[in-house]
Amino acid sequence: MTPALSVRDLTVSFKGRGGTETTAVDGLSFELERGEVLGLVGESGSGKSTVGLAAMGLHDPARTRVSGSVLVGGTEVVGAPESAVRALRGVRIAMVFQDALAALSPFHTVGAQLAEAYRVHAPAGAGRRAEAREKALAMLERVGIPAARARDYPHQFSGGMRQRVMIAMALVNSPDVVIADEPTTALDARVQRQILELLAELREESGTAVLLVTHDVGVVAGTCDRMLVMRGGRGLEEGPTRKLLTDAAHPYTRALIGAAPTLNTVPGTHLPTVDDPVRDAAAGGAAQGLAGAGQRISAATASRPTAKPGGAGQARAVRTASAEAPAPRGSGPAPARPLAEVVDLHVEFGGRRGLFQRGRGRGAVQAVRDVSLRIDAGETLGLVGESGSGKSTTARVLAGLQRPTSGEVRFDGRDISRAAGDTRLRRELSRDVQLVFQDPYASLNPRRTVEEIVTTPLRVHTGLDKGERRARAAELLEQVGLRTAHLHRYPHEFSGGQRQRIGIARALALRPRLVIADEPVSALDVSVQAQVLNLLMDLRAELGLSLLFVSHDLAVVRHFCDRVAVMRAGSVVESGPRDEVFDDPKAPYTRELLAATM
Amino acid sequence: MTGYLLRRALQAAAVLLAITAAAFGLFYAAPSDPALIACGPKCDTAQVEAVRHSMGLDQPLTGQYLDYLRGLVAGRTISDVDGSPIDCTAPCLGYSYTLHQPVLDAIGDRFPVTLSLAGGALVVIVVLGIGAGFTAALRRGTAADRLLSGFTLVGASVQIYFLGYAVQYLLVYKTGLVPLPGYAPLADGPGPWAAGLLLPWLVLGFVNAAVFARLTRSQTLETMHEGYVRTARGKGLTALRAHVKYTARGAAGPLVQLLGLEAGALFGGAFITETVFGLGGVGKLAVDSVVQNDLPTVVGTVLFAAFFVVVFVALADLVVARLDPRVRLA
Repeated sequence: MTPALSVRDLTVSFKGRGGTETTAVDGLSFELERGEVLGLVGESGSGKSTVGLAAMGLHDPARTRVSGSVLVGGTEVVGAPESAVRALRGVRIAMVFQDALAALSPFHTVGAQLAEAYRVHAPAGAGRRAEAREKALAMLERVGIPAARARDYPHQFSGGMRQRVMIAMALVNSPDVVIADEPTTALDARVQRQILELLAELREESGTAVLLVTHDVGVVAGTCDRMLVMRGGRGLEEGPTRKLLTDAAHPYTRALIGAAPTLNTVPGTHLPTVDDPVRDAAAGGAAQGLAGAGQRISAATASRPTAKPGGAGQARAVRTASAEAPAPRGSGPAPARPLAEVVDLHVEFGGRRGLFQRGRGRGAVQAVRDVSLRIDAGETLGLVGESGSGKSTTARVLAGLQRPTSGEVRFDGRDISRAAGDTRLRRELSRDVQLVFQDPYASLNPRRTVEEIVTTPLRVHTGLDKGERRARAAELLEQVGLRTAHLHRYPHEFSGGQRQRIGIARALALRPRLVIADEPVSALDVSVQAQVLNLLMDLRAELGLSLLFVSHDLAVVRHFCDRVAVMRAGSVVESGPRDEVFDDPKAPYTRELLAATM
Repeated sequence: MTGYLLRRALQAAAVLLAITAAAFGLFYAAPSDPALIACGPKCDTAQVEAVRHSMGLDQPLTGQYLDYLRGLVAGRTISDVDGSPIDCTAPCLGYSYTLHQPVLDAIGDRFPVTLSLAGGALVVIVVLGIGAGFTAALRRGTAADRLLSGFTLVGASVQIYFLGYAVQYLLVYKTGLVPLPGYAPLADGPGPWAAGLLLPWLVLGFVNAAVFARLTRSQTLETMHEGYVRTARGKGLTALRAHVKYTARGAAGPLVQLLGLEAGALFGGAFITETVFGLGGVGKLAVDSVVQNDLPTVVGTVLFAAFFVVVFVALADLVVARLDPRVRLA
């Protein structure tokens, strides 16, 4: 029997400006048997998504060159006329895209979009429309969405429901092959598990073969019979999932599997890393040093940059009371007063409020309700929850960026609840509290050099002259595993992991007493995530940092944090020391989250 | 929905009120004497004063303004230069002593011209501007794209009076391909009406189409790589069908908004085009009234033009909400 999908020597290259050509997929071959699930695993830039688009014939023909062979159930796609490929699309081969919100039309009801997928290929006839509608409703019910909701628009559904719609759409014509490109990456852990289970169920029913494209080894482990690891456009290693997970031949595969902490990793240990496969010319040499960044960190013995009298005098006042050095991690009793805390915090957003109406407006959203948290000096608090749980909002309140609706917010005993509206207070606070953001592409000004980015806090808060600031910046870059030579480069010359290091260097420039890191590693590839986590652990040990670590990833939080608070729908459902929460979770919700973590 | 319309109407009323106040105030700041103008050059001081009194110009400014507003809502009686009463029914925009007729009648006489001109020009804008922009985007990088882009650049940079006179010279006087522009009422048959307006439509449309073509092109290019367009193609739709059904829908919002503004502006009168082609529309009336210090007509035409802008902008918002279910009317 012919395989559902057979790829031979597939090479895909993109034409760039000025005649340059980038090869995204380089001589890849594999076969997908009927009814099988093959995991196509790789990090960003490995070419894994390009394989899916090439199999669908959906790349831009003007910019892309495809050679080799892709057979869908024996029919050649590469080089075939558009009309022939179109006859396959949606019937014999279909695709589930990563971001269902973007992949579904916001202008049409889900029922109409589903029906269209069927109608396009149905033979012309009087009853075609009615038949397509019926088919769409049945399919919606099958993926667990009431048929009555067919008239709703995608934005009225949750992320998981939208992905169900996508899956229904892909399977409406019972294709031989479904290509699922990161189908659960944007989803919370519990929803991810539900979607993967649904996909497995439907596959068994219909006998459709699935090519599961993902960066997440955990997803592959739970769903795929076989896996194929891609790197730099090439197939690196292929075999049964179980075998590769335990006994991979290639060191990259092993590193990829070990790079993401799991719920069984020993907390706080260094995670295995791999070299950056694509070294861009500009940041080139640095990549060599990245893997061993932890070892190269010099002892940070220098004191805080001295402030000239008057200049940052007020800033000093903020931290008069606790002039004593933060307690070393893990030793002695907790200090009497927490470094930062929120008590009975409430935050609400929006709502339409009449001119004379007081109190909560109509339609206001309670993002945070009745949350009390504390962060002691030298400790790392992990704030964990699904999207919309209010964890980022809580972090923003502590950073003085979000005005609380009610409740107390204190840093080092001082009331900072008005910092969001009080420029001076906010500025004073920013000397002691710094942020590391999720997206290292969006959070660095593309028009500033690394030196400007890292020294801006020093310029604002200290009286250091240009030379001193540069020296401090160079020291910081060394600390985060970059080099002095990088000072004059711009963010776009660095990889994602390197950019996050720059973001960390900027946050550390003032030797803050609290670093708030909001999903600092979730936009990074697993191997880069491991590097950045290792770096943060080293810096924390070396500098005695206090951290608020916001994350959706329980495994990462367990690996990195001393204490954990679990948030759900604006409230803290459980908090306590790491081992207590993870080994003996009290709240049913925590148990649910743990069960869904792969 | 009803609440939205009501809020929107109140908003529009507030805007129009502010505009009347501004037009009223500005005109009084100008160094001229409407009474003198209305009376004519042969009047002596006493006569001018008499006229001033009968026109109500000796009343305080706020009183005159309130009278005006009352007329707008309920109608009023205005006295002519010689003191004889003129009945002005609501919505009374005042009485023009220069034209010797109520302002609303003066506008009403000319509005069919403006309406015909604007309507036809809008059709040209939509077909030429949006059509060209969409086509150029779908054929991005080809000769057709470059040609259309160049063409729209010409449209954006050329002035109506230059283009208008140039094509009139070439197509009417030199070659006689197109009949002489002019306005023939639609009631007399659509043939002469369309023939007389053909050139003005094309010229006014072409010049304004340039902006639309460029915006359409960039909007389409932005939208055509959206995930939902790819999904549509993944279902097996042809590229063209996917773009017409999905890309166009996604690109439409800003175009509709701009079209609303454009329509509002055009229905308020197109002075230059009207002048170039000798059409007596509302635009020409407005400019003439300014030149002649005809206060009631100035305020009237300003209000009239603002009314259309407000109405069409609101209409555009409704259409956008209709096109995109995520848009909430508020």
